[in-house]
Amino acid sequence: MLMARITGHMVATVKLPCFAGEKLLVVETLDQTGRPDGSELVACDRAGAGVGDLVLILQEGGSCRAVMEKAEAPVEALVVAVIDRINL
Amino acid sequence: MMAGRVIGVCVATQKDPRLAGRKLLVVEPIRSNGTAAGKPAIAVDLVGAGAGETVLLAKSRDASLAAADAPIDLAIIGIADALVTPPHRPMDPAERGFRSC
Repeated sequence: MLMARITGHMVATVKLPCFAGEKLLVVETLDQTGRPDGSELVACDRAGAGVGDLVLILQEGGSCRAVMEKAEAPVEALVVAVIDRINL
Repeated sequence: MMAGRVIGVCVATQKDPRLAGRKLLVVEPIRSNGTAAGKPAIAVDLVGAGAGETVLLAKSRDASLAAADAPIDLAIIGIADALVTPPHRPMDPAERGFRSC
């Protein structure tokens, strides 16, 4: 799983039916020092996260489909937790 | 999944039969501020996207799953009306226990 920060969200009315009702969040992944490492991705939300939150991203299709219980959803990234603190 | 922008169309008459009837669009991965985030690639359109539109892309196994196991590795699965990135206070990593290494 990846550490990431939510920077915004995507509004998409035209999308595959399995995404109906899903919140699409734009996240930037972080490196081990907590700074953005330059890559961004779009994730479905399962943790009620908002802009600016430090979150945990599940980034594998099969696991996302299992968590979402949607066997046919082409989801590759899912926000599964809001991180309070990282101790290194 | 990632955001992308449709920059062109690809026409291929001789192809795998399972690609028949599929619209092939040239897409470029982008960041939320609109800058390019990777090399352009060819994606199968599943939602009727047009040139210049911002789209949602799925890659690898998820792309072929969305297109009934067609032989593809990039698919357009949504059309973005807006990519909203409101200004927010940059996070101070030290506040959250990250050590600068």
